[in-house]
Amino acid sequence: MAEKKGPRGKELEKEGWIKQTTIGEPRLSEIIELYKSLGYEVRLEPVKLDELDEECRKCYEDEGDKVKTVYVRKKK
Amino acid sequence: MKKEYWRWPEYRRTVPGKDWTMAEVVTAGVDVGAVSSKAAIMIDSELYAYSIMRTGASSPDSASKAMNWALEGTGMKLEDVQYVVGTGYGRVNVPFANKAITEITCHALGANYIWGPTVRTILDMGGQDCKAIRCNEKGRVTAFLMNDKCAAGTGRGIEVIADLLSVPIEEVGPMSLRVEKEPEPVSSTCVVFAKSEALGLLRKGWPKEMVLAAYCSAMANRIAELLRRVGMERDFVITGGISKNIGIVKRLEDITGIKALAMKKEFDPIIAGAIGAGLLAKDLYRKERKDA
Repeated sequence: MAEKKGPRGKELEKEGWIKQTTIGEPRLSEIIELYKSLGYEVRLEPVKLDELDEECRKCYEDEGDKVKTVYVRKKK
Repeated sequence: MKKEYWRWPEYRRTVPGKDWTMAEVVTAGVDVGAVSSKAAIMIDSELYAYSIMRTGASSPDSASKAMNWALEGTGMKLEDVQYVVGTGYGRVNVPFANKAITEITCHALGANYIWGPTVRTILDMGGQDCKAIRCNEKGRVTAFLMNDKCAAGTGRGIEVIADLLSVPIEEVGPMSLRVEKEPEPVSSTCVVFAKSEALGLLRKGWPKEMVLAAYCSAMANRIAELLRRVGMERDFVITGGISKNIGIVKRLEDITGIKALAMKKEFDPIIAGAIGAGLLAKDLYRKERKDA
């Protein structure tokens, strides 16, 4: 997915969060479970449509809020 | 009837020279993917029989069909299998599974079984997703990355291009390498946009080989980025259907500078997840018996 990094993404990066993927169910639950088992904190953010390339936007619009962007950081 | 160029061979196999009736523990892994369903029957942690078929409209039906096909001709019945683990996109819809486990875990374990303990990076290129996985010498996952939600750069994309160009899917990879000079990659691996871009190139007079080269190259670039982000290291292996597309594998190796270990004749890399699930099934079976 082609995406520009928005202000929210930059803010999260400063806090140590690393963007992993943007995905919906049933994969979403699977990867949350796995990242936690690997010792990561997991944070989910809504997809920002205005940060997507136009060609990707239509697909994500149809998905509404079912798709999330997954950020992780190592537990301190 | 229109020829289905995307169609890949479905088959089953029993490993010769093995007697399941002598086994202490019989387990199975059933991997219901978005595009293909696989069942692997393991006897005492050794692969005994497997099947690979297209996933239908219903995940539970696809799981049952794959399992029944793997059992076919073995004299074994489902009741003889002591523990079943479901994995893949439809893992929670395997009606006869004792447990469901994520496919990332199963693929790492399956790759460790197929290629051995030196494997550190696995690329699973599936029908509708792509995963880069790092593991330790025991096949346990240490890090992973999954592509974004869309089917861009996955097996489904290749199926669409094969159909569009009327090229049998097994020919896509070899044909894409029959170019004198590598063309610029297509600008998008998005299934919808790549299709119109490919049509545009054909109208411009590009031969099919060039169009396929441009598409395979774009896919390889996209996958290489996923591998770079996960921190690729040797030994590197590829599982999933696109592992059989030499056009993508060769370009990926050129970009990353790391060659994938060769496929093993006796193991189809598509069944790595099902094998891993079958291996985990034995551990879980033993644990549950011990706890009981």
